[in-house]
Amino acid sequence: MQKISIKKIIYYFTKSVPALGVTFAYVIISMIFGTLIGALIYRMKTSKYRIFRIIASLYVTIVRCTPSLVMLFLVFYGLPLLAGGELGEWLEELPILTFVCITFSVFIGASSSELIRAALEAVAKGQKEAGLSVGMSSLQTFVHVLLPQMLRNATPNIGNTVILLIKEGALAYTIGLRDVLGQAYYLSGREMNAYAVSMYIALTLIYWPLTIILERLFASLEHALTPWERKNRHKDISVGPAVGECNI
Amino acid sequence: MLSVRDVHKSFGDNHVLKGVSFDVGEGDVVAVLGASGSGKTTLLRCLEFFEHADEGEMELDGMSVDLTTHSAKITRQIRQKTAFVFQNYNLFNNKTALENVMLGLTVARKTDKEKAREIATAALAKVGLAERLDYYPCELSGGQQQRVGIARALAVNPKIIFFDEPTSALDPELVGEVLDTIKQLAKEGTTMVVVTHEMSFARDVATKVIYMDGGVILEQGKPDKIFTQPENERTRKFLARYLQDFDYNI
Repeated sequence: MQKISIKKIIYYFTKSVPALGVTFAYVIISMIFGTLIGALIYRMKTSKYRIFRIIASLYVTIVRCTPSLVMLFLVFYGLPLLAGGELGEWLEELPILTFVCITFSVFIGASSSELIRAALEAVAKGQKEAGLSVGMSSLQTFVHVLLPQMLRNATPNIGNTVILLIKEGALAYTIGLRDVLGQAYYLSGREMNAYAVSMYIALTLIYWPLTIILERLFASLEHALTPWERKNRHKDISVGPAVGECNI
Repeated sequence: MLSVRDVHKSFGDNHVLKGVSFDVGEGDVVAVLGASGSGKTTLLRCLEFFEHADEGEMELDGMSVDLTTHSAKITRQIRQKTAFVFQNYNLFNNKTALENVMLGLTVARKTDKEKAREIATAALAKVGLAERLDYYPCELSGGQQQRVGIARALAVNPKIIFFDEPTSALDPELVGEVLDTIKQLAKEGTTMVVVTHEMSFARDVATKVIYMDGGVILEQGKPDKIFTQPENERTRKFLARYLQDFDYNI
């Protein structure tokens, strides 16, 4: 029977926390490239050419049907083999983090294409026409009118994706990534897992506050992007309370 | 000022516009009447290039354009000369009333910010919303939103303003404030084309009335004539139905 040791919890906690940098690195990189892939896939889905639409939906279906662990292995072991030759050897030399980023970018690419579609469709067509009608170009309308509203609509989903990614990313220890979980496993392994329970408690103590902080962060971001929902606006104005209902 | 020739537009098998031509002079207020589905809104949307006509031309302020064009440059040139007031207001949800009005100046026309703020404030004051500058659209009533929409159209100093059923989405008690605003503009000589179901407005304010039915203009002329001696039987029936309503309302 293992004993829970406060000392060991503190040890695992303090030694694993620095590896958060790796976690943040793959989360941020995957979010950026994933969103770019997602935008591309969305564009292809709405293309007038059938071939692009087929490729896009094939991509989304395949990625969705692949467990992330399987995808991780496929990318890590399969990509260098697939490339073969010198390119394959070069790929094998790349840091593990690269493969993790590729895997999750591919995943986020599929889910974010849907997310982008939802965010765009929620911003009514009328908003775009209004922008054009005052003489703005399509690009200006997108930047000043559509994008801010899309971001605001998408913020909760982006937050969920980031949190999901942090937890999913823990799987990457299987290919040797030293993120928080990988680091803790590595340290625990050196002690023959004699204090594994303490290690898991330490991990929980890292993941919980991290997730809570991120949730709060995205909630306040959404709040910041929704100025009309702030309480006590116009308190000082004599014309009385606002009459409209704010539930865009 | 504006002259529109032979506009055709189909959505699939549905031939919505079957050759529409009309002219608008400087300072004219043209009311476009007609039952739902007669093509009024589609006509207006074709002129603003929200829809691409299948056929047709227009001349606006000395510039001749093919209404079927997909050229972003030409489309934008026309849109810079016109303004559009929407049935559902379509104010920018993420902008305050003031920002809504300013955007067409600062972004689209690169007007200096201070100057734009001045123009926008004046436009909002004109529609009676000087005290609502920093309100977001969702904090305003429908009538107020539509008046911001009108201010937004006015601010860019267009040659002509298109109104697409500006009061149809409003609660009856809010229709008056919007119509009064439009009347005020008419008095000041703003050139407008107004698609509307408000017969009394058309009769009192318009300098010209167009009656559309089934994708063509059945009749057009001075409101006095259209309302008192319509030549076409269908126009007569349509007006009888609406004017009756109108009498009850009084």
